[in-house]
Amino acid sequence: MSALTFHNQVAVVTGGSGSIGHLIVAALAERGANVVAGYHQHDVVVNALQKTFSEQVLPVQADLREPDAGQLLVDTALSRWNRLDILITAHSMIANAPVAEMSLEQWHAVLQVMLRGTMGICRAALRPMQRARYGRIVTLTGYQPLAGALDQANYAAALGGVLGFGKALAREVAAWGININSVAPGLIERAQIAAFDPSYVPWATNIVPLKRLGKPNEVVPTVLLLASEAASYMTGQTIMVEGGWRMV
Amino acid sequence: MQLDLTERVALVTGASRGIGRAIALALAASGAAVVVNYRGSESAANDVVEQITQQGGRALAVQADIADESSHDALIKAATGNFGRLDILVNNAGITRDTLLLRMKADDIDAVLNTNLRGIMLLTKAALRPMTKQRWGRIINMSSIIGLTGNAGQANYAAAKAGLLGFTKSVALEMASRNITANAICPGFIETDMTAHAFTDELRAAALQRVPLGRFGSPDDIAATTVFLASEAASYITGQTLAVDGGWTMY
Ligand SMILES: NC(=O)c1ccc[n+]([C@@H]2O[C@H](COP(=O)([O-])OP(=O)(O)OC[C@H]3O[C@@H](n4cnc5c(N)ncnc54)[C@H](OP(=O)(O)O)[C@@H]3O)[C@@H](O)[C@H]2O)c1
Repeated sequence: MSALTFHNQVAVVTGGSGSIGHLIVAALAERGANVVAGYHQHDVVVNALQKTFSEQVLPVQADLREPDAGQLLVDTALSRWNRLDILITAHSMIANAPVAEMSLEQWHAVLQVMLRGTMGICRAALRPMQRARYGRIVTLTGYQPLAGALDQANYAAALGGVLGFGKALAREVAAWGININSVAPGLIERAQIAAFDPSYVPWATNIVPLKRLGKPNEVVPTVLLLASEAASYMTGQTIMVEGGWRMV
Repeated sequence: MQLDLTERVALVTGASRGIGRAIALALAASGAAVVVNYRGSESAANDVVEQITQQGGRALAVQADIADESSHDALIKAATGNFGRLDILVNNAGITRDTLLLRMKADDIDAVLNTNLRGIMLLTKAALRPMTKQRWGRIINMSSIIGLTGNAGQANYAAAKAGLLGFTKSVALEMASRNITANAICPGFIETDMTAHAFTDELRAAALQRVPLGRFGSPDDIAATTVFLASEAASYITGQTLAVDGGWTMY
């Protein structure tokens, strides 16, 4: 248990260029996995990962709004390494607005990327996992569907959909040794938000019982736990990493 | 990922058998010194200590009934006196007195609440003192999926286990600023003496039907989650309830 290793395992990580996703790619690769790092725009981040881990990390550009994006990422992993043990969905897209003012575009885009994109890649991952009778799927969700969040009804709905989808799928595929769980981060340090809204960090620091925001690398260990053999008896669960903010 | 517990000191209640035993062994394997509490099974507790010391670890068996708070100070001192500190408290000891509420005696209620809830509250209180001084602590409470779902024949046990979840969240809130986290684990059906005696073959088969992963859990499944929560890897997790139940509940 003290050594969570993923030697010879193959993972697909969506949002591999993101603030949490790129740390997950690195953590998996450091522990021996071969990783397809899906990204949308930020090739600098994933290219740097590839430089560090050379053969072990393969960046693949894919827009999860496209219906075939999930299949593309999975197929790339299969054709390169011929197996798929782990799928981690760490992509994120927000388009905040109060519901009354939310444009149809904001509404659809978030559902399309966050819910349909996740469902699509989970489905694509099933066949190789069922064949191997082993699989670990970890979705990154958030506190929004569990506790609500201002101006994020679209995001909360999409992630709530991911949680419901994950539990239903967990029941469907448990017989093949495929476990599906979710990690729901709370208020996590993000350079972009702090720059955009200077009141964010003081507000969050004050409101969270642990009196600080989470760091992206504090979310990663829980993802690794659920992606590992150590979590063999957990499925359909959501673990919040949120410093006691909501406790739901 | 930091699952290394070297320099940490743990107290595991009910560590002579079952889940507690697996937890004590796993914490020790990750480097922690462990106080192995037991109530009646002395030789089993000594076996746990022997296994740990044979692997080069540090451990000590201490007899105490968790329901009796006069024993709590000695338990805490066993950790702080022998190993210099107390970082991790695993409130694992638990009992059942199953019967339908219509037939349940006041004594069945008192016994279960005293061990599974009241005793834990008071022992936790005692453990918070050294943890507050250290400004580092982990409280891990062994609840049960029965605390989430209820169960016919277990009104006393379900009440204690559900109560433990509310207790966990309150401790998490009160102690967060001291860098002490509190979390609960809800095991599903785990193969131990507790479940071996309580279930007929028919009931076992019916229970298995409800586990999507198609098997009962092992104490090691719970121990893995406990080590994770006890470690630096879980530094931003507090007030949470983790079900390790093969998909039984999915709440
Ligand atoms: N097994 C399951 O399926 C399951 C499911 C959900 C939750 N749980 C929970 O997990 C925990 C461990 O269960 P288990 O199955 O491992 O039980 P178990 O096999 O019956 O072992 C119980 C342990 O608790 C100790 N203990 C009992 N009462 C005590 C007291 N008053 N003071 C000190 N120690 C005491 C026993 O010590 P002695 O032998 O020395 O007396 C023994 O080490 C319990 O809290 C239980 O409610 C278990």
